[in-house]
Amino acid sequence: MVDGPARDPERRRAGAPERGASRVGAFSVSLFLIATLLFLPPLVTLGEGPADLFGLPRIFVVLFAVWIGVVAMIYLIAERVDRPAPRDD
Amino acid sequence: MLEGWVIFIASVAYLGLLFAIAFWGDKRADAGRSILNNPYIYALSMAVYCTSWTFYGSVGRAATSGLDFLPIYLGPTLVLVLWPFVLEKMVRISAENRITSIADFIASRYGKSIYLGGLVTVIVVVGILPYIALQLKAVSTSFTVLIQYPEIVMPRHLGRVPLFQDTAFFVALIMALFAILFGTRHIDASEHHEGMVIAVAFESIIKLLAFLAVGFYVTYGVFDGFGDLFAKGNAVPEISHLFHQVGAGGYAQWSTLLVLSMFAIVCLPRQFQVGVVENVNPDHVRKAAWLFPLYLILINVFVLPIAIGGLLQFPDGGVDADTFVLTVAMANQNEGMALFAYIGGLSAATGMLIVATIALSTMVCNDLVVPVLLRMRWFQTRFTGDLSAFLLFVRRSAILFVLLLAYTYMRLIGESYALVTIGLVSFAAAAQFAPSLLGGIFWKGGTRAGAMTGLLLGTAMWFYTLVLPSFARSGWVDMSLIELGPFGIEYLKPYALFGLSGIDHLSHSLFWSMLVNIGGFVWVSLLSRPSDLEQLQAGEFVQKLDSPGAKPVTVWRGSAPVGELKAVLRRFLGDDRAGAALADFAARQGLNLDPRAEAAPALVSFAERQLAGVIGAASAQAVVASVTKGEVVSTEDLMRILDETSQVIEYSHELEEKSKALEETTAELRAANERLKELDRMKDNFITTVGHEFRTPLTSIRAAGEILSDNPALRGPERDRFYSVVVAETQRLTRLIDQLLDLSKMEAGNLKWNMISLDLGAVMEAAVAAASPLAQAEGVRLDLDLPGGLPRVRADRDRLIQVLVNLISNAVKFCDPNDGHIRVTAMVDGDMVTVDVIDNGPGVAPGERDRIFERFQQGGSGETLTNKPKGTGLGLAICREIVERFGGKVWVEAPPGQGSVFRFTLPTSTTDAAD
Amino acid sequence: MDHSVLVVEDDDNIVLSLKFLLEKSGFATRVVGDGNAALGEMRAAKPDVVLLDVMLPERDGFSVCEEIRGNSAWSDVHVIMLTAKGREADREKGLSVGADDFVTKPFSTRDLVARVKAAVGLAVD
Repeated sequence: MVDGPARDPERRRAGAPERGASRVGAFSVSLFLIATLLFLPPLVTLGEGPADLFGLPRIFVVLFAVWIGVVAMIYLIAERVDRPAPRDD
Repeated sequence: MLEGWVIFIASVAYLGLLFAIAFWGDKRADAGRSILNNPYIYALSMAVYCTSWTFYGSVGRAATSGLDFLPIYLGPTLVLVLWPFVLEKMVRISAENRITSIADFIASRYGKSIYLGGLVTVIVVVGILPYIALQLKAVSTSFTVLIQYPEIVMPRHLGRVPLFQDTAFFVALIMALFAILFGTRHIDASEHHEGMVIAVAFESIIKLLAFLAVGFYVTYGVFDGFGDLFAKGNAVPEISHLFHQVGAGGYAQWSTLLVLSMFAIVCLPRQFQVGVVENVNPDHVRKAAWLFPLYLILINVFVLPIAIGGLLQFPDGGVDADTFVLTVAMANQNEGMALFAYIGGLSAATGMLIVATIALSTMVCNDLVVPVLLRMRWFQTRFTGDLSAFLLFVRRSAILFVLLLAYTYMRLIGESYALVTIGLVSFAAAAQFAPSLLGGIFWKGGTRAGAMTGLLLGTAMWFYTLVLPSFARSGWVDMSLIELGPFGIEYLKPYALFGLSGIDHLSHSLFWSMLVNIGGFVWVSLLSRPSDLEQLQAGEFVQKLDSPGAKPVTVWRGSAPVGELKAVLRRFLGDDRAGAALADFAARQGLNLDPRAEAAPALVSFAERQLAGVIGAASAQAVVASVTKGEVVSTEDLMRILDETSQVIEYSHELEEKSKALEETTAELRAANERLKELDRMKDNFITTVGHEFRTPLTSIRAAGEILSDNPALRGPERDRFYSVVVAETQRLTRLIDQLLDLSKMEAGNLKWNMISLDLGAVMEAAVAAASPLAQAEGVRLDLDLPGGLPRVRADRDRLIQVLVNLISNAVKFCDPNDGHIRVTAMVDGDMVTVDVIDNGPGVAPGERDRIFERFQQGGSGETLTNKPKGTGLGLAICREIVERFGGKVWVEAPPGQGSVFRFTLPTSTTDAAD
Repeated sequence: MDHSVLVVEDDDNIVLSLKFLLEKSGFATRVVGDGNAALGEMRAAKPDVVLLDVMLPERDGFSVCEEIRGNSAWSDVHVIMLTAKGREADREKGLSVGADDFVTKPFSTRDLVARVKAAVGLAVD
């Protein structure tokens, strides 16, 4: 959902800095709201229960999977959306 | 193998390595080859978040309440999702304002308030000192446990360790040495502590590797993978409940921990230090935003497996879960793994100790000691010299003081309940900064009074609902306080304030402290009126998001002599640094550094920023204010500053227009230059042509003269012919010279013009009379056709005759050779009168009609000139010059087959009377 | 009267002197006023020497000279150019288009006659 535009290198390059910043901002805020909801009750409790997933406790797998997903999204937003040209360090 | 000396050597070797790395980092930085400009090191240094509380404590927490350890790491992840708004913004603000600590940041935002900075520092010391003590305790505990190998004995059964056998004491001293060596190299605290950051990054790698190693060992070495581990855990009911639910301690606590850790990642002094103060490039935040959460995931994957493994390993509960990271390996006789785990825990503790100590000492020095000293008269009079060495001394003392205080705290409180929960209590203390900090960068309306109120109320509530009852539970305060409330007032029970019960103590405390903190901050902010400086700083901090990299406006309006400003800088920065910084700035800005001159506002601001890096924004402002006359900034000035900003924008527009105008001028100049070159070429041509015009008659004269002198026998008509050639060509030369001079005089405007009202008819009659002999000589008929009622014209009589004679003689040359006929006439045309000289010659080709009025351009030639008509090639050019001078025009018309009509116009004279 | 000269010059007074000088030296002298007439006269009867003015009506002396040199039948015709400009550039241009000699106006009559004589191989007196 968020990585759609990121795959379009032309737009990325053409994107004006301000538009880029606002796009990053919009993605960031959306992700923040979604992730916060996922990590808080009641959504987080949906993984509870004695059932297993891949032979592991379900809540354990679900929490780490969502966590990895969120970090992956941060990566996509930070590194792939309207990233300004790298400066010489 | 795990004898005491082995552990000791390993510890010393590890700490030695740490010193070496920090030393190397500083050396590289000094050599200008800093490796700090690297987002990976930045991200790793942020992992100082994971202390020994993570390393040992997470497992302990997981062993009692399952997945409840996780929110502490999920919160930072959530905050980093918002990196462009929070962390990057704070980094940019701090870089611009040379912020040295979180106290400095908050003080600076609210009008550089000394009191606010001091308050934050006090809260930090009270709230964080126990946390530092906890790290020392962890080092001490892990050492004590490990040294018992192969026995597994908990320290509480061992009795007190004497001071000089206590590892924690030596670690405290070594850490103090480290912090002094690598934390106070520069007087400017806003400069980066390269060696420290690199050492912390290194420690982050070590503790991660150690924890992963232990995790792998427990999961795959002791047990047979995750499946086996969880299956065995499932079989034990006391264990299985740990990993099938979140919020074993209640959902409220889960949520509270999430919120607390979100605040902690920006509000904890050590996180502010590595994440904001030590940042060298705001672009690094982007990479750290996903790298640091990734680190957190990695270090948390094995927490639950180790906890389960420990519980299975020690089913009787005789071993503290907090030591499982060490003891599982010990119980399985894996000495190497146990030692590695110990080193990992040591690195987790030392990393936190170093950063927290440096951050705290900077705050204590800049926000407590310096403001107090600056107020003391005896200090002012006594210390008049260089203060930079003194400041370093204060900061080093503060480091030693903080660590020894933490150690004392640890020794005093020992195994009490207070110490066990201190990690979360510290988080809750740091969370009190969040409203002022985050409110300060997003809400312009926040004021100093509001921040002060919020901080005071929140901290008081934190103390009352969390710290005080923990004292009671440790037995230092009567338990009745908790059970019955103070003085028996039930509504004031610290764990159930105003009857709020049914949730855990932490959530309860966070609820009340945040309620009064945020409430007080917003309410008082709305009621109070911010000072001008506060408004200015608020704008600076809040707008940072909109215009990253925008230069701060010059705030200082008061004036100070350069000399005094310099003296102040010298006192705090030291002679060399102050001189170099000022000279550099002055050179860049082109400012005057004459000691008696008044300092430019930009210079005063610069001096304040330099000082801010050393003693913090609040003190720097006070110090600069002491040497400047006049107000810092008035409302009027504020408006002017805003004006100036818009003026700058206006100027830049003007500049843009000017540069456009410049381009136009350049184009014009280029065109003018082209024209000049063209004129130069024309002048060259003219001179060549004039040369030619002279040479031709001279050739005839010389040839004829030589013939006459070489042939004395020449007689009769032949001889006369040569004589007449000499005479005619001499006349031609004379005429040429006259006309050239006329023309040049006319063009230069040196000719005298006798402009009078003339009877045109009379003038034309005179001209025709003057030209008729010429026409008669060539056998050309010359008629004057004068209509009646010709108006008077305003002209110079002689020049007008010259024009007419020129035109007539020109017509004579081009007339039909056999039956030449010329007619001169005039007619009125509106307020102009037109004069025509009409011949019956071949006419003028259309392409030549304009050209023949140029100099040396005669008719009948394709190239320049020919000799066919005996002219000078200047007659028509002179005619044009004269007619245009009269205000008329001259041109030629050539109706086909009817010869040429040379026509010129003259304006009629307004005065009828002849004068 | 073995040698003939064609004078191409449009100034009557100069022509008067040239004709006198050349005829007195024994040359059969013809005179034309422009370049095209000159070429026509040459076709009618090939002269030994052409005295060619640079500044002529219709077409200048350089192009006339070029045309003369372009015709192999006239390769033995000597072309002496007359110029009133006297610039080095003109001289070079004249020689580059194949003129045999170059005389600047105003010229010495003796010098001119000597050059014409030299061109046809007569002894200069």
